[in-house]
Amino acid sequence: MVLTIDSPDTVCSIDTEASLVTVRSRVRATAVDLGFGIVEQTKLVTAASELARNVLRYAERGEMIVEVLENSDRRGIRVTFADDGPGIANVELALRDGYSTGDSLGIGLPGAKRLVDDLTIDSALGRGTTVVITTWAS
Amino acid sequence: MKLEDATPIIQLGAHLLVSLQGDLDDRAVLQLESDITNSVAKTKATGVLLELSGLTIIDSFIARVIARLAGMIRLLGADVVVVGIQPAVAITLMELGIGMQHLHTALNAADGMALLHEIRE
Amino acid sequence: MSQKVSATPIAPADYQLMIDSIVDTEVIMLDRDGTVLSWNHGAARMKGYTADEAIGQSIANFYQPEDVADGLMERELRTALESGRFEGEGWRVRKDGSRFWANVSLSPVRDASGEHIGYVKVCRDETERVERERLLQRQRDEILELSTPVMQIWERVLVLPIIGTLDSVRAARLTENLLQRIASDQAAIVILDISGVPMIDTAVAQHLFKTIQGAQLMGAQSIISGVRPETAQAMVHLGIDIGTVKSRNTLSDALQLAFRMISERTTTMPPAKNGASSTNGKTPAVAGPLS
Repeated sequence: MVLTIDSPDTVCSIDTEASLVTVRSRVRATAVDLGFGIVEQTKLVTAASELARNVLRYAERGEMIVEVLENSDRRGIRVTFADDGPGIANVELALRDGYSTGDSLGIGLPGAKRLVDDLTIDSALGRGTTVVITTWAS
Repeated sequence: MKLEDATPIIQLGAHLLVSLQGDLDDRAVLQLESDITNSVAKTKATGVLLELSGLTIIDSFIARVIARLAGMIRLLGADVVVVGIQPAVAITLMELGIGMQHLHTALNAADGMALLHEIRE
Repeated sequence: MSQKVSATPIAPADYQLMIDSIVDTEVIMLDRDGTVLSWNHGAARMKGYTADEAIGQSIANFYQPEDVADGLMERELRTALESGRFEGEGWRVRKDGSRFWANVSLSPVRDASGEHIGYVKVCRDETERVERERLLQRQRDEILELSTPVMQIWERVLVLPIIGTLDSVRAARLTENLLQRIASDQAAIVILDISGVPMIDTAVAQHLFKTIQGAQLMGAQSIISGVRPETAQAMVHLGIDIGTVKSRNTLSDALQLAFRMISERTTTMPPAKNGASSTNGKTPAVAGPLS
């Protein structure tokens, strides 16, 4: 059973490049609090940075919510990125592994997905986009 | 842009050592590109070390910045070696699928210098 | 059952005695709103409340405050009522404030006319089981660590003998360990010995290449050793191209190559120009951005 605890002050708006700094430091701080190792921290913060950049690039503004999750034997972090931008036409295509295409990194979703335990997207054309990533401390 | 915000560029003989750090936004990147290319031209440097140990996060944007900087430097006739990528960052870059295979890499500045000499031979 | 033994059915009064005798499981009765109507020894031991203290209380007092605020109790009762049963696990709180991991089941109770009058709640403390599972996992992790040692053979050369199968969890741990060792040991060359890997498939090959890529990002060159004839065939059939990565049949061949590579590196460093040394970190000529 998963219990979610909403800590205060973990909602932040993404509307300028400076927001990316806040995104990274908030996610980093939460990961450190939960005892994530340096590698886990780096992966999670990088994924958050990628997704926050997507919000800026495609929707110009959006929101990030950081939540701490608890299970019987471990704790985790769930970060949600939500925007009212144009939305993703084909979510499945966006998630398809473009690993072999080298430098063409597209919107970085397959990459971000590999950095976290779970990544889900809720999006459609004209409906905005919500991306949720979850990683558990080991 | 304030002097203390500028990325330090250090000249070591015929080489330049550029230490990237902090949070690079679009404006800082443009400034960096200008500073580096002007330095290479002015000093006629034959090699540039891009020192990355100060970067705790390299996402696809920063990776692109590094690749583009390397491209500009090479166009000016200098070799480029990327040094100091932290283990956690290296692991993350791998998962992101960013290999930087076309770039020379070394563990630290000293090794990077040795590599620059090797390349020039 | 070989023979039926005739026996008198248990009297209603003895039911309570029976339930009371259960010491390791909580078996209690609730009304429709979750108020405790009966208590047993198991409940008293688990939660710390006597029957007098517990009866008349709402079971909400046994949930964590955040769960109460979240309406968890109401949801669980409703599920039991609507589906006929609720079973789940979660944190519960004892009288002294300490918490434990509980396995809970709720079943609705109806009277003779079918009217819903309450619930029967059965609860077990699973904290021990969870602790055991965690310990087991820790032991498994330790075994993983022991079976993939990174060895420093001599200065700047690391050897990683990969033994056994490589799943993604193990591969990730291997790679992390190796890259951290490259940094801490200042390794210039990494030898990946795969003679102990029974089967090379695309997944294993991908793990290998990721590791090599990671090492390369940190400036270390990789050498693969222990490629058997079958492995070579498999890799070509799978279309795996190792590109510029060097490969040697045996570990000793790979070590010889590594030694040669290291020696060549130290002898090709010419004296630096302009009087500034490149290897001992003397003060640079010019500092600051030049524009």
